Amino acid sequence: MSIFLFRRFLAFLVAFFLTSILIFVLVRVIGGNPATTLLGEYSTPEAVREIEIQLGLDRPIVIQYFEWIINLCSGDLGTSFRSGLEVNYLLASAIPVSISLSIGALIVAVLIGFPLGIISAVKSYRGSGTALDFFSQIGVAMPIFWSGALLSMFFGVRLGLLPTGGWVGWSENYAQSLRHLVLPSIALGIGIGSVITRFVRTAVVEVMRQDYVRTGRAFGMSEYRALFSIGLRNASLPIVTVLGNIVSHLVGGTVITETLFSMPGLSRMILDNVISRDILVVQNLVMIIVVYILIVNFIVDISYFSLDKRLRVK
Amino acid sequence: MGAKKRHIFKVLALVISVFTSVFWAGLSSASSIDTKKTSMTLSMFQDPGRLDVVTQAATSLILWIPGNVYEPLVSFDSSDKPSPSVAKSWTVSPDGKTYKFEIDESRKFSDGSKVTAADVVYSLEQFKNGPILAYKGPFANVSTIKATKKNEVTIVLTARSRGFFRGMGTMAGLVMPASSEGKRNSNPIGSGPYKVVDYKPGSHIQFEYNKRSSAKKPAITSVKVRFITDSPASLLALRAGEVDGLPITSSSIWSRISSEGYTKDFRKILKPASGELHWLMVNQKLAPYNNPAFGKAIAKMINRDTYVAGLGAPKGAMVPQCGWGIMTARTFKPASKENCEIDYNPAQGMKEIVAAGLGDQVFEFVGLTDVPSLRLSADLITQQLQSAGLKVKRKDIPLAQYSSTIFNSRPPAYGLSLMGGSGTLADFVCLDQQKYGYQTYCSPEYTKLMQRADRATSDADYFKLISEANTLLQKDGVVIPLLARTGLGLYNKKLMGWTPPTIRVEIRLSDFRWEK
Amino acid sequence: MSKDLLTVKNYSVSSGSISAVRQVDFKVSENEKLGIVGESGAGKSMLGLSLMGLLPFGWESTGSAELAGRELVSMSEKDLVGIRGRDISMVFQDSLSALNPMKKIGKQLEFAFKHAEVSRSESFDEYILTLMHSLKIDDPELSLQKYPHQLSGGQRQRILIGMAVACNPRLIVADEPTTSVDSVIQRDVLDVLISNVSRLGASLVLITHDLAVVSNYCEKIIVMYAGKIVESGPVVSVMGNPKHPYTKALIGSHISLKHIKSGMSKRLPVIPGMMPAIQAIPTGCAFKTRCGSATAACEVQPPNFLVGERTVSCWHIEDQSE
Ligand code: SF4
Repeated sequence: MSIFLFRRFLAFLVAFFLTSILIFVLVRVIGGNPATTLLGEYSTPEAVREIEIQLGLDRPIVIQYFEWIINLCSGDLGTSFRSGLEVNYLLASAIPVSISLSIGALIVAVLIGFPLGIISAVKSYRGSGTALDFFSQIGVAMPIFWSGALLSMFFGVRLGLLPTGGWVGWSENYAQSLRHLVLPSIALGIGIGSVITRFVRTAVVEVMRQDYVRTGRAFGMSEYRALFSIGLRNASLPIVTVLGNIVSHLVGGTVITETLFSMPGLSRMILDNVISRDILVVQNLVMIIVVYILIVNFIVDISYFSLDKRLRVK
Repeated sequence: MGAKKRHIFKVLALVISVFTSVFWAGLSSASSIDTKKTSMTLSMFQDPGRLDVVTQAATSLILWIPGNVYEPLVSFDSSDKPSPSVAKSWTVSPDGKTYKFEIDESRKFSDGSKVTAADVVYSLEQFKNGPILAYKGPFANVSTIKATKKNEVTIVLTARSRGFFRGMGTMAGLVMPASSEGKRNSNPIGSGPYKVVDYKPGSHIQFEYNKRSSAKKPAITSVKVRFITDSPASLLALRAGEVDGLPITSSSIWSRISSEGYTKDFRKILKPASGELHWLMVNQKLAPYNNPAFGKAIAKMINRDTYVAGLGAPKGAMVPQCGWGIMTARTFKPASKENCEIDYNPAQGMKEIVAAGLGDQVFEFVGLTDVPSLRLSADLITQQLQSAGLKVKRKDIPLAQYSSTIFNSRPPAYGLSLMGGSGTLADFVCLDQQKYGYQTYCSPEYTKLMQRADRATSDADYFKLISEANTLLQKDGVVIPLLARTGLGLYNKKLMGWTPPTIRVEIRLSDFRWEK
Repeated sequence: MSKDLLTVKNYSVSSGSISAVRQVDFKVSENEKLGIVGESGAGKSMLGLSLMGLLPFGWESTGSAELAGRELVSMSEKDLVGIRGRDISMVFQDSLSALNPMKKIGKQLEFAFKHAEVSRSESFDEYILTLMHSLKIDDPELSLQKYPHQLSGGQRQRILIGMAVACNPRLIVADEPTTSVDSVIQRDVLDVLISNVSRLGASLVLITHDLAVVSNYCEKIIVMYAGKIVESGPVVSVMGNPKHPYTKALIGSHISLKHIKSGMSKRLPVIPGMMPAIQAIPTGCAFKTRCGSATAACEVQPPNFLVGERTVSCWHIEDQSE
């Protein structure tokens, strides 16, 4: 186990450095610098140069890289040139929004994914689940900007029940936050829900085919009970393996969802800073997400390793 | 078997009820706020990121802060007539080189401090030495700015300049307290009718009536400006009544606005002084684009009507047939046979290209990829040039790359490019390249005419010179206007009082009122 | 003669037009041990599963199967859930896949004990330990804390037996209980099964392809071929004097093979030819393609002729004596 842990940790470090180099290079390749975008097309060259010096963009590229990594590791995310505020301060207001959205979307996804997956599994091992399969395919393929716009149009404009966008902090008005969260969570949750549906379906079908389910039933377990106490339980464990997939869906989806619903979250913050070419902030924010995904995958690997001991008996 | 099914449905029912109860919990708390008498919510397509007008020139900022939070030294009405503002009176020396402004001491900033001559000097110095080129313009001939009395500011010029005095009613003349240094990004303080009470990055700016302002109390005292970056989403928010107005709409949704009945259900405001402005730029430092025949021929190949219609521009959009007179609303004249030398004639244009020996030349047309409203425009232009028979390749680059090349004083490699934004007449005046960076085009003759216009002593002289300068640009065929300053704003039908901007593009919140 | 516990009449297991078990009749008396033999695909396992009501989706049983007077064929799933484990239970063949890999042995046993009527004198744990003892599992407490893959095949099979007998069922169906077990300890496992069956006074249906096992442990035997019972009767008479050509071949080749391999292999020997697949069972006697005695008469399905205590399904029974 410890050798495994060590190897995974090494892989984590390698991935961290490789992605950091990639991001560092990419951010510089997109071109442009914050000064010109910030000051507008008619700014003076002196002002532009001054900002470049301020941002350290005049230093040798290798030094820029190491300074960045050292600052990043020590938790110093710098100051957003665009807003003149500390990135840590901006993050403190953006992260709760993104987390709320992610949790909301996950709840929706689980509420959609598990029941549909189970029903579709039951249908499939006793015949046809084609209709449900079809819907889960649509769910996966449906772009968020489309489903989101549809939701806003129906619940926001037509029925006037929910806000079409925007955000109210939890501390300001709990109920309003909830109202603002409903539509984005559904829009983002549908796609992830479809991923979960398909996964639960295959996992449950697989488990329900196992002999030990039959054994359980042979000793008085009802089919329904077998489904929930053996099928789901055993099927949920391999779901860990698609957690990485779900997280990447979440991260990718929040960018669009936050833009579509005007939510001041982390992804929107990145997008705003990409537009204003605040490259130092962009590379920090992207790195935070990379580290987040790496950590999730690290956890997935480790938990799968310990689960695998039991799973690999076959 | 039946029992099993029922169990599954029980679980499903439970799941659905949990889900809907969360959903309804959200719905039931729908508040019934309808204090629309004194508040409004407007939508903005971008978060300015920081609120300091000295260092930040984004439209998303200068729509809101000037005119609402700040007041200019002198205010000008739409016919350019000056009236007192922070300066309650002023005198000009006969040679037009010395201005004395008497500061209105009864004015107070929103933090309670009095407006002093020192604050005025501080403010003007900020803009004069600031990073925004456009704000430095009015100070081009200024030699000293001094507080000569507690309530008097004296400004000495090296030469007579209309631009300076007019400039004191624009961004360059905004007055802010010296004590606001370093705090303006999140908390701008001015003497205008509103103050910023809350700025949440990525979310909104909240304005409230500034009780200390000497302006009369506005009808609407509470204004929220929400950042809705997604254009279609902003339309939905307007439909849903969550916002009362979209002061600026992107040309990417113009066709939706007219096809989905927004222009019928909402008050449409066409603003000639802010909004979309598109033009083609021909690089005069790069062969073969600098061939004098090229620009003139290109200008004949573009049908502006088709172009503007292709954008789905609102009815009433100004289509320049020719000329650069579109640049300022005041000098804009609709095209006519008399004032138009270059007419739409693609066959003639192509003939000229061939005659100049450029018939086999493959040209590059540069579109800016990350300016959404210009993407469609670039498509339309490429299409028109190609159908005229010109061999042209489309190339897309980001705006930042475009401008950084220019600002790094490197000759830009783009021959023919589509530009959009806030072009002003000053853009084509030749500047010191060492100091101001690289220009793809400037005309020395034009520069002379503009300088003479700045020194003009009468309005008649001024407009005559400006018009001469326009004609010059037009003849060169290097700046090819496509769409005049046309903006489309949509407002709730009951929200009245939009007035055209005078400082730059500002929206004056204090003029709005709710109709009964 | 003791009371009949299970009476199966005109019983078939089919999915659409395909049948795995075709119109079989047999009885199991109380305390009786019945062996069902046949090649793989003969329908033995499907017969066992169908009695439990655990047929795969799409399969159904028709005819009649009465367990202590209750009809199993038409029984609702709810009632089936009620009788599984406590009236009829099953020992499965592949002990590794038949146990939940994610649950500890103790937990799985506990579940099987759900219906156990534990007498007041002993606690639940004591009862489990007693059972573990009767299953001859060493170190029972430790074993209960283990996951299936941590036990040996023999131990797992014993656990499965323990689960099957946990609730004192009246009928135990053991489906190839020793296939997955090392041949050396097959005997121990079977001994454990038989001793527990005897202890409970239950009846046993032992599905196997090992004739030796049947002759050692069972009183009655059923020989199945292509979903049909071709011969059935007391083990002594069927094994001693097989009447059906298939039974004869089975026993003959078994003995010869046993000779050659000195008892090392107990697998069914290969009879020339193949048993028809259930999708392609010919009309008439299903064995006719491989039968040396086949005649034109065999184109018609032979009925079950009674020969003494046994039934034989063949047109050409050469020797009518017992
Ligand atoms: S009926 Fe005919 S084919 Fe069938 S076993 Fe008897 S002899 Fe052989």
